[in-house]
Amino acid sequence: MKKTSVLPVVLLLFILIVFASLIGRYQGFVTYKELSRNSLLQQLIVMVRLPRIVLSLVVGAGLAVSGIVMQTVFQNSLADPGILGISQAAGFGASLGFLLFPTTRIPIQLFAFISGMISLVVVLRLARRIENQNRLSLIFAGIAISAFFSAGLGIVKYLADPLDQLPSIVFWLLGSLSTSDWSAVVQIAPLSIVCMAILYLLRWRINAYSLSDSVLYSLGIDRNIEIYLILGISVLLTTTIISFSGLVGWVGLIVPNVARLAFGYDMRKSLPASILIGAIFVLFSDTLARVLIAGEIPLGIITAFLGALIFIVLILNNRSRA
Amino acid sequence: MAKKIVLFIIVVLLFLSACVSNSLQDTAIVINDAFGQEVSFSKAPTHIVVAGKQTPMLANFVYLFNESSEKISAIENRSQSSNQFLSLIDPSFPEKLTLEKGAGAEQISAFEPDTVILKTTMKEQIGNQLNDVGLKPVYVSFETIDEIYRDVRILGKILEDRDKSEVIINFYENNKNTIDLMLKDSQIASRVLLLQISESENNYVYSVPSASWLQTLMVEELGGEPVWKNDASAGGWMEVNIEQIIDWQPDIIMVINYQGQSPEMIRKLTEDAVWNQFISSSEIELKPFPYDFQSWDQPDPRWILGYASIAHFLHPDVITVDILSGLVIDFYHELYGLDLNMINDEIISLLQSQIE
Repeated sequence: MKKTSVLPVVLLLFILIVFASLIGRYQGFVTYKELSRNSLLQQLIVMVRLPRIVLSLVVGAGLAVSGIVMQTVFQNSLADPGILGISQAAGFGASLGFLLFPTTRIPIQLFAFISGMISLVVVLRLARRIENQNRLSLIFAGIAISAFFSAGLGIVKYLADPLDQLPSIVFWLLGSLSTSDWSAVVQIAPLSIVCMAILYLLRWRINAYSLSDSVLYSLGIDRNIEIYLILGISVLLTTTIISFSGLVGWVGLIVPNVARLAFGYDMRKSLPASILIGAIFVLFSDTLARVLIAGEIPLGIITAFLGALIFIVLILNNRSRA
Repeated sequence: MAKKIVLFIIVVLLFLSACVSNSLQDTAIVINDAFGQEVSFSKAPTHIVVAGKQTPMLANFVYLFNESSEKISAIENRSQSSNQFLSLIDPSFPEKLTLEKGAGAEQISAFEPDTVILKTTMKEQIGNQLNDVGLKPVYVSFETIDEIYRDVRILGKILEDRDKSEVIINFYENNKNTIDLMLKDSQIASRVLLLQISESENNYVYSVPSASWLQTLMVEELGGEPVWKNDASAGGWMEVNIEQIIDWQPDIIMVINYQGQSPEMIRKLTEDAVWNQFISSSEIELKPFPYDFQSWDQPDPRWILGYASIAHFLHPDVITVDILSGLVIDFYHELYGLDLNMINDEIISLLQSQIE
């Protein structure tokens, strides 16, 4: 068992939060002295940057938790909401909600959740029906469902008004936190935190799912009921986040693997580590998205770019170890 | 023998006249389109389809010519519909056939058009297909002021009304020159921001136009400094955040909204804490970019009204509300032939909260 301390990660996260609060397109990096005498800057930090930082933390932590839970339950380190088609399904549902009810967020969240749950149930059933069940069957089912909902998403995009709705849908699909404010925090954060807290409390039970069915049976754990409960919460967490942030890819895939590499496979450590690393990853990416150039860079592009780089490093690291 | 000679001469003459009339027919109309390529028609097109992107704006240009109501067979259905406006000019407009959005060569062929008017950006997507099935697309661009003049002449040739195309161009040139002349001695170069604001899930998304677009060129032509120009070299609308807007330090922000909600957007912005502080600390002005049936900032016949509006916002003491209102009336009366009562009732009334 690795004994990496979580303290440096907490410290890094804290430093990053302070740094992200003090840097922006307006006046670049500001010092405390400048901050104290510029009331507009104070307003910007409180009303624009802080809610965005809070949502970055929630998005990063939530997607990472969802990813590590799915990877553990499915005993597959490639399983994440994106690979299993849940993200695409939620994307389709949210886009449909966006098309039908453009001014309110609740139908968008609801449509995203329903689509995500449908996707999960279909993937699980499909994977079971594939002969020679192995870890790949889940991935195959995920690819099929993902393609199905991507096609649905294509239809929604085709029907959207190209000047009003389509740019918003396209930008949303690329992932963005540019519309963050405190009302969005109130709508997204509480439910996400509750989901994360439940999964955190269940981390002991989730740990058990990495064991074989016969061991679980001997421990008296009813795999089916608990798995559906845990996966349902994961899907709710993912869709709540995605309905606001859009498709922010790679977080649920990369972060759990990094966390396990640094803190081991025990969920008691890797789950809180995933929360911290996910928050750092998305906060760092979003800070680049809003600061790097005059225009907003879609968050999903940055997480995909950084995620792919980390993925390559992880693969090479595994090869050299082998 | 004499009879045979006369008959021979008659036959030769008939043959020659047939050749001449054929050759005349073959080259009855030759149009150099926006790509500079020649498109020939044996007779003037009488069945015309307007297809591809931005068809409402194209249709508005086409309907500057009186012949359009008879010659237009179908118009592709796109966002920012101009149906409401064109129904004022052509009461039969609602009965015109509309093409579904994204119609391909097959659907367009069904109308058996003599020509299809397309934006240059549609060549790869649909224009080449139309050529393949034997239809003759004519490309127009309308993206800069010079292109607008050139493309109005192209439409004049297609619709066989070159005089009207010159009337339109003269109207544009005269009014633009008048505005430029009136502002000749105005030296204040304001830092201008043209900002498109759209509402998404009760949040605002801010975008600025590309550096090469008509909107940016108009601000520069009028001596304003488009503060976003150096940062917006990409080809489309660029989304920006509030911090970037503040960092540009504009003196005046002209708010564009393609649903005609600019005054409402400005009202909501002033209620926002950050915007409120930004506006009061920087003393910037927020102006709604005028919108009647379409926003005036676009490559549309109304561009001259957009040009005059920017001039009015930058120099309200020189280009007054009366001058701007007068131009609006002249534009709809002289170019579209609308009567003055209709202009006052249907158009000026829509603009009162925007240009005063």
